[in-house]
Amino acid sequence: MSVVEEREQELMGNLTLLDDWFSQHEYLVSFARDLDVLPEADKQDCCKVAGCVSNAWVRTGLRDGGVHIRADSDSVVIRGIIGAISAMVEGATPQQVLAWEPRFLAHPALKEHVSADRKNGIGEILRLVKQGCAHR
Amino acid sequence: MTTEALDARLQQVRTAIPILGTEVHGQPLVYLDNAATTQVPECVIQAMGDHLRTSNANVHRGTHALSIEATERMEKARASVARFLGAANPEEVVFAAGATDALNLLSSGLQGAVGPKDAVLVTQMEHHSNLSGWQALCARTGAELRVAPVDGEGSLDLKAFAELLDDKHVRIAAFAHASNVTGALNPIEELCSLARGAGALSVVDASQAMRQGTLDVTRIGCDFLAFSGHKMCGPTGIGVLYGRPEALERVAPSRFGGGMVSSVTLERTEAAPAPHGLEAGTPNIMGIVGLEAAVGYLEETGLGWVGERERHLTARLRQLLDGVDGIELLGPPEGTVGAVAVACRGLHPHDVASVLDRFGVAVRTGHHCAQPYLRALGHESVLRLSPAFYNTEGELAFAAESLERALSVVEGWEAR
Repeated sequence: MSVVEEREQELMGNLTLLDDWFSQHEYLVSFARDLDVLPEADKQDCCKVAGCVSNAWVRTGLRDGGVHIRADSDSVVIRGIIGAISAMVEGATPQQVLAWEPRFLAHPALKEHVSADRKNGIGEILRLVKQGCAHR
Repeated sequence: MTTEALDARLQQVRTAIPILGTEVHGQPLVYLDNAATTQVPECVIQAMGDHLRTSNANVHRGTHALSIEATERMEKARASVARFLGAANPEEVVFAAGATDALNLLSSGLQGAVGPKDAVLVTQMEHHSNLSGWQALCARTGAELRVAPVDGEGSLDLKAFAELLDDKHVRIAAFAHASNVTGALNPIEELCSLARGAGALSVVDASQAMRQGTLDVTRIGCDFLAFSGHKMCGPTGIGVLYGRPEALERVAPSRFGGGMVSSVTLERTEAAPAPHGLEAGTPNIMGIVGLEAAVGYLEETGLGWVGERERHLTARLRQLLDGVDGIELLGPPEGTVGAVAVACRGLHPHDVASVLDRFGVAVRTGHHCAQPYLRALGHESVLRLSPAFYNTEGELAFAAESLERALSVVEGWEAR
């Protein structure tokens, strides 16, 4: 199991332990706190998340040889979800991120939190993260 | 009418609509998304079920008993809708899949009515379905698209609308009866009169105004009027394009096949006259039956009462929301109907709406298919609460309190 998959499993385990929607939502939103926020000047069309009901930008780069995400959104919930994704992939190799098949969106807790509109956006966020790893 | 009698009628209405008793996330449903779709009374559900159980067959040109009965039901519904609209003849009623479909029938079919030296006039407050099709028509024909602006409150600038008609180049003027975002009402009789005076065909998008009292197309003086069944307690998938006979004659068919043909050779297809010539394919017969039942339900409930109650509820909702900190109410402060748009300062409306949903309050967020209008109001995405006659004042008060709580929750998330 890669480090990304281990962290994903921990995330899903924590969501299962929290027994109500608000606690689960607060847990997800808490990941926004540690998100490396993308500066305004770097919010360009190439990293804008298409099809998202909120405005969101995601840039995938390398830091000390491992994957590092910088991002931002005008929705605190999306910032939290991007923050969770960022925490899962931080420091992993691009190959590990590319090989990762995300399962967390199918977790029952997340299925309830994420509307169909937002699922499209999150799918696009994951695509941008992987795209950023593809040429590294 | 006494308060007791009002409560009895309201109770009767709510009892007749089964979904209003639903719970979501363990909370009683407070349904405030009526500008998107209204809820359906049992009599409408029964009528559609009865049709499927006892008269389900394809219509027109059938010689068996079920087909004849289905055809009679459909044409009887057409006559009911014509009467509901105050139209002179059932032939003035064309069934479509909804208001969007009806408006697309026009923007496709009126191509012959405009040329490169002509113009089409719309307003800045239109739903995309009454804007995008006209843009495409202008692109195809070289006609100019003119847009009557809204003022700072989101009401139509009537002076600008009139001035844009002055040079008599406008061939089609298309406008909403009521905004689906702010509930701002347009004086459609006056707009139709201005269009007529300038030699333009008038197209009224009545989607948001079908519960506002008795509609009379003769009094309104429009050439065309479009609406959807699912915004007047009917099912989705059915709507109407009303047309004055001389105006309907100018609409060329844009969909082909099925009941719209008169004769077909390998070289040429002759369309039947309106309305059938504009109704390609097998109609949504079940939807048509449901629409007729919805018309009957509203008439029996009392259109005057329905319209007055909705105006009252909209005003009351605005009043309640006015007391909530951290939001901005959009649209004119008075005289709106059916929708209240709310901008959440510093918070994303989708985040707020997802919390409201947990409290059982159903609202909608986004651009509401009116991106130019939202931009004119200075926003990209807003919350919209849209009451209908079957909502209670208690529900509105609960929605306002819930909005305060939801804002507090999301503000707390932002602050972490």
